[in-house]
Amino acid sequence: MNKPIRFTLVGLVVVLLGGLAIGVVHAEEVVLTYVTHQETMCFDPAKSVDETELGNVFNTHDLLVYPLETGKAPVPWLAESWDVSEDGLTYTFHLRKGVLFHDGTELTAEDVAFSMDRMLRINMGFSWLWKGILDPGDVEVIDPYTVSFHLNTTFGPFIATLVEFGVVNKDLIMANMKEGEFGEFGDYGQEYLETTDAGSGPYTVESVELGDRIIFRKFDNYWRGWEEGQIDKVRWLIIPEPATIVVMMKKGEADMSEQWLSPEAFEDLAASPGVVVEENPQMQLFFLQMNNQKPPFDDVNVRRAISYAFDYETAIEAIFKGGAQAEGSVPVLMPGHNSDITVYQRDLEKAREFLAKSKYSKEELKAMTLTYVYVYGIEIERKIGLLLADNLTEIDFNVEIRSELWSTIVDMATKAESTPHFTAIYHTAKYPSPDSHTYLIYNPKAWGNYISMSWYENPEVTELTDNARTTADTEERYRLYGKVQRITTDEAAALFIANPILRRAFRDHVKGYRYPGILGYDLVFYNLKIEK
Amino acid sequence: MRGTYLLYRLIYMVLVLLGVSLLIFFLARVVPGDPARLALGPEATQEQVASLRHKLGLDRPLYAQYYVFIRGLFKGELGMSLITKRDVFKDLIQRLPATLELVVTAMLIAIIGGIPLGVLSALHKDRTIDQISRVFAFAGVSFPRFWIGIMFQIAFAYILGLLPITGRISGDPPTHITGLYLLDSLITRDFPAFVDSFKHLVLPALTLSLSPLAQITRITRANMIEQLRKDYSIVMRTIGMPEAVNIYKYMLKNAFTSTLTVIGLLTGWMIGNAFVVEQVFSWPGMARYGVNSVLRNDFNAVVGVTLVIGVGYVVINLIVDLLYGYLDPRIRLKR
Repeated sequence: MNKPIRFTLVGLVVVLLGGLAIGVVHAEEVVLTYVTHQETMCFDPAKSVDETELGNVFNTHDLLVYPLETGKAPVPWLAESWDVSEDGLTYTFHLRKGVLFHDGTELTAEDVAFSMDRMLRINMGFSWLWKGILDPGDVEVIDPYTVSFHLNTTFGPFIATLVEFGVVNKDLIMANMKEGEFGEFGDYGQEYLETTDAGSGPYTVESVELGDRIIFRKFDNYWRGWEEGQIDKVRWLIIPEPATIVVMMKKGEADMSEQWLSPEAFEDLAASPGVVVEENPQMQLFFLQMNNQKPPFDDVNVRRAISYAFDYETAIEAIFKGGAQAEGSVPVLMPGHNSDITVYQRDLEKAREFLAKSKYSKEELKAMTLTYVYVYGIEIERKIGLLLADNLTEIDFNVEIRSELWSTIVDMATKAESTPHFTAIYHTAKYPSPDSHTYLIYNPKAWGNYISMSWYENPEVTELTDNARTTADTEERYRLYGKVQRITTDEAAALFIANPILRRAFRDHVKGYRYPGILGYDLVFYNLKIEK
Repeated sequence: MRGTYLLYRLIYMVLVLLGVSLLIFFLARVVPGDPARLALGPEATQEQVASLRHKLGLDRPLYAQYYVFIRGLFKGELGMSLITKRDVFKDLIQRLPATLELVVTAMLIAIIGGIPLGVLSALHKDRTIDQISRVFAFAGVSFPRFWIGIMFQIAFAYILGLLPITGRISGDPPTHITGLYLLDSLITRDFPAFVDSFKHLVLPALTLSLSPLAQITRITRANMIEQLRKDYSIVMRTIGMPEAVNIYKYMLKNAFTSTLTVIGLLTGWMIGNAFVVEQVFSWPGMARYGVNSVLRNDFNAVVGVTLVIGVGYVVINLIVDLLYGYLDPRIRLKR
C-alpha cells in the first residue's frame, strides 16, 4: 500500500472512531429538562430567597447540615459532627475532609468563616435568621477542619437555620471581587456570582441566558460520588406560560415541571400518558390572617365564630384538591408540631353561640363589612375568598373581596391600621423548626411583615416564644412551642385552613424525586435518575 | 441645512428623553409598596430593610435620587434590579437583542406582506381580492395576539410538529457578538444555530407581525386609491406608461408618506408591546422583563425599560422624518 493511501485510510479510521466516540458520549449523557415560569436566577447563597434562587444555590453549593427527611432534624453534611458548649453559646463543627470546590481546591474552615461573615455583611437573603445572634467575626477558625460559631445569645433553632447557609469558595471570591462597599472585600464577589457559582455542590453553572435558561453540568469530583443514571446535564428552562409548560410535559420536551401550575393543570397532566404527578404534603401553612387589632377581630369570640363558620372540607377537597386541614399554625409535618390542640370544624351553631358572647351586638356586626385581600392572579386565593364570603353570610357578615399586587400587600403588612380584616397567606418552612411558624407569627418583635399580619399579642405567648428561642434542649423547646400552638389555636389567632400538597409533574422515566419539606430542596437534581 | 436640522432633532431628542426620564422616575417611586422589602424577601427585619433603603438611596429626597440616577446614566448604570439583583443596564443589554430581533423580523414581514397586499387591494377595489384582504386586515387587528400565538403553537408545533413551541434556540446559542442569534450565527458561520434560531423565530415573528401587517395593508390601500384618482396617474395611464412603473415608481412613492409614519409608530409600539408574544413563546426579551418589573414594583427596571422604549420611539421617528425628505422633496425644501 502506498503512503498517501495508507495515510488516508488511517485518517478515515481516526475520524470514524472519533465520531463514534463523540456519538457514544452524547448518547450516554443523561440530560434532564426542568421547566418553570419563575425568572429569578441567583447563585449567591448570601442573596437567594425564593424557590428558584434557592434551587440554584442548593444545586451548586453545599451546607453544613442538610434536611434529608421531612419532619426530621437536619443531618450532618459538610459538618460531620458538632459540639455545643454548656451555656449553648458556642457551636463547634468538625468538617468533612476532602470536599472539593468546583475549581479543585479543598473546602476548609476558612471558607466557612468567610461565608458567614459575607452573609452577615451583605445583609440580604436569609441573613435575617442570624440577626442579633451572630455578628461578623463571631466565627472562629480553630484548625482547617474545625470551626466555632460564638453566638451572642442562646438560639435553640440555630442548627435548623443552617439549612439556609451555603458555603462559598473564599479564594475564588477574593480573586474575582470588584470595587465595592465592603473595603478590602470590594463587592464580596456579588457581581461574579450573578452568572456563576463558587460552591462545592453536585452541579456547576455551565451557562446562563438571562430570562431564558440555565445549564448545569455535573461536578465529577463531588464528594458524594456519582452512580449510573444520575443527571449529567440539567437544562433549566424559563417558560412563562403555564399552558406551554403543560404542552411541553405532554410532548416529552420537558422532564420535570415547576410546582406552580394549577390543580386542574396537574389533573390534566396526571391523565396524560408518560407523565406522573408526584404529590407530597408540604411543610406549608395556608391561612387567613385575621387582624386582631381591627374590630370586630379584637374580640376572641368573633374570631372563634369565624373559625367555626368556615367550610374546611370544601376548601381542601374542591379548591386545593388535596392536602391536610391545618392543625394550628405549625404544619403537621414539622418537627415539634403539637396535635393536641383545638382543630375547628364547620359548626354553625357553635359559631352563633360565640357571636352571642361577643362584645359587639348583632346590629353592630351586621353593619361592618369585612375586607378579604388576596394576591392578584392567585386563583386558589380568589376561590377561598368566595367560599369565605358565602360561609359568613350564614352568620350575617358581609365580606368584600379585593385583590392586590403582592408589593401592595407587603406594604399593608407594615402597620396594623393598613392591614385588612383578612389576608390570604402561604407560609412555607424555611428551616425545620416550629420557630418559623410561631415566633415569626406571634411575637411582636417579628411584627411588620406578611407573616405577622394577625397582629396577635398575648404576653404569655410572647414570653413562651422568647424562652423557646433561648432554650438549647430540643424536647423542652418543642414543649414550649407546643404550648404556644395550643393557646393560639384556642384563641383563634388566625383562620388556619390547610397544609397544601406540593405537586410536580415528571416524565415517567425520572426516578428518585424526594421532597424534604423545605423550600427549594426538592429541586436538588442529584437525587434524580433517568431510567429508560 | 440638513446638518442643522439633524442637530436640532438631536437636541429635541435629548429634551424628550429627559422629560420621559423625569416623568417615569417620579411615577415609579410613588407607586405603593416598599421596593427594599420586596428585594429582601418578606421575612427581612426592619433594620435590614432600612439598611437596603439607605444603600439604594431611597431615604434621600426625590430630587437627590434623580440626580444620582442621571449621574449613573452617564456611567452606564441604571441601578440594581430588585428581581435579578443585577444592574438594570446589564439586564437590558442581555434582553434587548432578543426583542429587537423579534420586532425587526416582524416588521419586515409586515412591510413585505402589507404593502403589496395594500396595492393589490387598491387596484382591485371592491373585488374578491380586496374583500379577502379586508377580512384578513380586520382579523389581524381584532384577534388578540395571545390567541393567535397559541393557535399557531397548537397547529404548527403541537399537531404538525414543524416548528418549535417556545424559546429562541434549542441547542447552544451562537457565540455572543451582537446578541442577535441570526446575525451572530451567520457571522460565526454556525449554520445549525442559524437554522435552529430561524425556526424558533418564525411563529413569534409571524404572530407579532399580523396586526401591523393589517394596518399597513389598510393604510397603503387607502392612499393608493387616493393616488389612483389623481390627474397625474390618469395622464400616465393615458400616455401608455407601463402599469408597474406607474404604480411602484410614482404612485406608491407618493402614497408612502403616511404609510411610513405608521411604520415608524408601529415599530416603536412593537418594542414596548411585544410582551404578549414574548410571554406566549417564552421569548427572553425586554418587553416581558418590563411587564414583570411593573408587576413586581422593580422601579429601577421600570425606568430603564421605559427609557429604552422612549429612545426607540425617538430614534425611529427621527429616521422617519429624514426619509420624508427623500420621499417628498417639498418637505426637505421647507426646512
